[in-house]
Amino acid sequence: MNLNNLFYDVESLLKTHPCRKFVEKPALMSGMIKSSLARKVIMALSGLFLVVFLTQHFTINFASVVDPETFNSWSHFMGYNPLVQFVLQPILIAGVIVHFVMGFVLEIQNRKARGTAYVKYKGSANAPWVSRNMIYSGLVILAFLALHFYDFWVHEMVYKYIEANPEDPTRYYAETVEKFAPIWRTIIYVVAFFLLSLHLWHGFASSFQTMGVNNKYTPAIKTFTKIFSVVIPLGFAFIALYHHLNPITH
Amino acid sequence: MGILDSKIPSGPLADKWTKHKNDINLVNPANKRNIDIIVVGTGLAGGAAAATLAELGYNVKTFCYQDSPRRAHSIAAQGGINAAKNYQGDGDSNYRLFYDTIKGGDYRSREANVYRLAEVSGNIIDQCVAQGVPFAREYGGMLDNRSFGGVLVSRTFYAKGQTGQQLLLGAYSAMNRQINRGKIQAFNRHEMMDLVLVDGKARGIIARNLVTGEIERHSAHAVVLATGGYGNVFFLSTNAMGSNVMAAWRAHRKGAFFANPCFTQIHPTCIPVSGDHQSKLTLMSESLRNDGRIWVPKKKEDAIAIREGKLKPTEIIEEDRDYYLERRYPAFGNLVPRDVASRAAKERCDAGFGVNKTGEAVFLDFASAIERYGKEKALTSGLKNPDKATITKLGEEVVEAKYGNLFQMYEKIVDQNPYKTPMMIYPAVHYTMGGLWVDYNLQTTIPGCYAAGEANFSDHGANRLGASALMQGLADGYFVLPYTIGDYLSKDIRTGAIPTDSPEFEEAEKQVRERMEKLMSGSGIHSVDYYHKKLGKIMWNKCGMARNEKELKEAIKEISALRKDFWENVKIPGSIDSKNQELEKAGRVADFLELGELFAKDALHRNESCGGHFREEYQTEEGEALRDDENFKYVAAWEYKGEPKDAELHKEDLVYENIELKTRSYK
Amino acid sequence: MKLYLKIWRQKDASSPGKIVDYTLDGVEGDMSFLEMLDILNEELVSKGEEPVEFDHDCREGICGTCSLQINGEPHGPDRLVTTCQLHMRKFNDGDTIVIEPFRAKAFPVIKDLIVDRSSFERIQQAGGYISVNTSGNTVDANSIPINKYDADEAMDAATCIGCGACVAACKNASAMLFTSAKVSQFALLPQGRIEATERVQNMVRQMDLEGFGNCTNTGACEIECPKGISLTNIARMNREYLSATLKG
Repeated sequence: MNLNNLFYDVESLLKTHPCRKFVEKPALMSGMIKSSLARKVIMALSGLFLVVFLTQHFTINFASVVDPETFNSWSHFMGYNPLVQFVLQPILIAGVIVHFVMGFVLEIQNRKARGTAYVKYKGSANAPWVSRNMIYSGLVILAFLALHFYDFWVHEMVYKYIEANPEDPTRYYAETVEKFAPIWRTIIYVVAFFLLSLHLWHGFASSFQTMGVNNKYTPAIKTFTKIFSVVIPLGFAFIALYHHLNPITH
Repeated sequence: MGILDSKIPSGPLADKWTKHKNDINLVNPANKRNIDIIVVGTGLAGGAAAATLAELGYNVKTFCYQDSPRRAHSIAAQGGINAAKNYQGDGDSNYRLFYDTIKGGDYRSREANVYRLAEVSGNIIDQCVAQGVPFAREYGGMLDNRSFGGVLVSRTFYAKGQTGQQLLLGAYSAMNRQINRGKIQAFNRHEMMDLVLVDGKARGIIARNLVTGEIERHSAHAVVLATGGYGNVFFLSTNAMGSNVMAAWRAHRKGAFFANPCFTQIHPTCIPVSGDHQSKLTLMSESLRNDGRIWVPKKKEDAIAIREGKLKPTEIIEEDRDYYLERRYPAFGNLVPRDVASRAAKERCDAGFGVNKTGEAVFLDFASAIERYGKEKALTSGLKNPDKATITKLGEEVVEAKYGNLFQMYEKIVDQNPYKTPMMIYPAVHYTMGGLWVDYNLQTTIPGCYAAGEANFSDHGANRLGASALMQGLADGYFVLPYTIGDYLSKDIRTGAIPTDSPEFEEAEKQVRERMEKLMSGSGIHSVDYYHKKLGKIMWNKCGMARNEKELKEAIKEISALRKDFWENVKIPGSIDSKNQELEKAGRVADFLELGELFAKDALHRNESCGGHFREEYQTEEGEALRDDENFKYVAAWEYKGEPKDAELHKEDLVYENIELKTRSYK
Repeated sequence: MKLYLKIWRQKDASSPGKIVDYTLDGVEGDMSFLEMLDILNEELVSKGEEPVEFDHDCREGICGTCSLQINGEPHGPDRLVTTCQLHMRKFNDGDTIVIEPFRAKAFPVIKDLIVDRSSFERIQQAGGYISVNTSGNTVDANSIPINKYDADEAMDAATCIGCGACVAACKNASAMLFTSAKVSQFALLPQGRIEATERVQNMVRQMDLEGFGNCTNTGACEIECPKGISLTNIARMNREYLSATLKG
């Protein structure tokens, strides 16, 4: 795989603009990917990766509703397995960052590409709301992630590395349920899950199109997207509400 | 033969072109780099010529008034392109294509040119396929053909109803390749305002940048005009709004003879005029006549009832319909040539059988085709005893696959569903067989000035067969002109670049400026379109499908008077030095106002009926055209002498050595 | 019918533009949208004012010259038509119609409603062709059999008229549908496969350079395309680009 095709230098291109073919292979430019298609592929790949993560996350969380014991043991595994902690977790964080940063980069470019704004622009005539507002659903999810990280990830880091508490494979269920005691947090979570649903509704199937998949399986992919983007966020919301409504009484 | 030398090579017909190519001078590759060629117009002929000339190594500059070469009006050709490939094995050959074209043109075209056209026709298809033109194919992967009017074989290649578009995009892609190589400089949104002659040779043009209004000088060793036809002299035509005669007419004023201006094709299947506001007419491809049956009601009262909206065409029973083409011309039926079909429609409508509000429309009915295809499809799909609804549904699907885009276009314009009710059609101005006179090398009477495609007069005589315009444009552009022009340019290898600061360029630019200033100084209140519409009315009423001496004489007078009024009074807002569409239009209409007069003069002098030129005085008892080979078997080439009515006639006698002149019959 | 028109007027590329209001009476349903503008212009000329300039040519929906953003949609509210094929019967008496040029950084305004689409030209020049000489010395057309399905699909892609509605409709002003149509046409044909790798890379590169936005798969282009060019072409271009990149 020759990555040079993905990276090219706009300055040197402009010199040969408008219609000269390139002779030299452009230099690898400070890691910034300049091809719009390459950027899109990165968006799609990181998105699909996050979808996979979401599925896994959902499976573990759902265990908390079904059987606290299982939930505790899975959570403990995820929290202390070195492979998960030191390989998968950084990859996940990188995936999240890449997806967001690339999303912003694309959004900024896309806004610039219009130039003068329309006096009247009827976006609703030809494209669904969700597809036109991915940046907003994404921003809400980002804000939610900050809270979510604070709630769980920061808590974990403090617990494990700062306070250096001993391993306790039974604490996870109670900690989780406790988080959902305040109604405000539960509401924020549910709202975020709704926007996650919107985001997935367009994003999931769209990533296949970006990867070049548009064929006889596309209707199936689209149907699956719709099911997935409703079921998973609905499930997450259910879990949050379930724990809010079923506090642990000591 | 007078001063017109057609330079037809000697020898047997089938060998002429090969022999000629072997005999003419060539320019060596190193010298081609030092030779500049201007190509005005980037349709099939111009685009193809520009690409090929650039491939050969010449430096090419192209000019078009559109914002891209891809928008030239060749793009609107729908039906197809002829080629004597004989893929169907139905007995087609170069000779047969040649014969059909000469006969279709009512024996008013040059044998040698037409044979050459037939000879290279097969190559065009090979070339286009290699370029990636997606022609329609059969399930076996081979190219498909359809039939067109005036012939008895299936030799028309097509790409849905957008053949012209695909062929033009093919030529455009070949151009793009050369633009990318730097061998073509494309000047889009530029209009040729005048031809510049130095020492009697065409050495450049004055062009106007239509965005900035700037007047530019461009020099070259030869100038190719591929600027299409002049159908817009009628205001309403199937041409694009911008199609014009300016380049050809400017060349005519500088010494290029204009041949057979009155040979104009009125296409039988266009969407009828709906009102005064109409700006243009839309063609429904001739290919529709493969499957559509043309009729009007047999009874006048039915026609009246339809016009008044009291009766639906589908309510008229079979016996009360007059399929007049099938009745009059049983051998060719609905596929008679265009001129014949148009006149027959006019005849029925004039007799009071017209079917739309204005009484100027006939039906083109697909009901029987839908039924036929539906039954066929049901059979091949293994459906036994299908009901009528199923047959109709299946049939409509077949028809949609064949002509879907045309049906959609019709529905958008007329607001009627042509699958359910017959289309209404009427003839409209479509193509001009006349044009700049050229010799066998496509050179006009100005040395170094060439004309290709519809802009020249050469191949279609008095009537063009369907699907032959694309063939001629590409033949001229890809295969003829790039070689014949070398013969002329071989004498220019030592000339060096042509300077643009010579007195000739100076003078030409001055005249262009003065002309525009004069146009802008009009003191009246009427817009350019007002005059254009008036001219169109005169042309349509007096120089249209049927002409007579009295009205032609009137037309000459009226056009002359209208021209005077135009120059004194036309109102053009804006300025010369900026984008100004009204000024662009004015320049074009000014030339139409001169051409229209020459058109009428040509029609008046040709005391015979042939092809698209129908003089009421010269017809058989059955109303068919009466040709006069004794006195008019010639090309009428007009030399500019000031006023168009003073133009001097030169005759190029047409010699038929390989074809016996017959009365054209499609019965 | 009587219409209230709000039309973008701009003297030239360097001047600022603004919306100007016009009232037009006597519009008939049988008129095309451009014929309606013709009437307005006729009135303006007779008053000595400069007419509204707009691009148009064939007026039968094939040349791709006409543009116009009409009430926020390229080529107006009707589907599968260009502005010249849009008829006034789609509007009602008393309607207000906002008419603007196609907007994109890569489509700068020339005057009033006319924009410069030469960026499309340069994308085509970057690779929208098969490098075969026009000498006619090619193989017989039928010696390259092509599966009818592929030929038809190539034809569907090739019907693009280059009008720019896809760019105008896209919230990102992306030219992916336009570029992918050409890439697709050649990718589907055996003749085009030979240069497929370079073609897609060069055309995408040029597209990016022109300043078009990125595709976010909203599908607006497909809906507004007067020729119904499908999104599958974009997917095919993505695929072609990916495989070209992986091949190196």
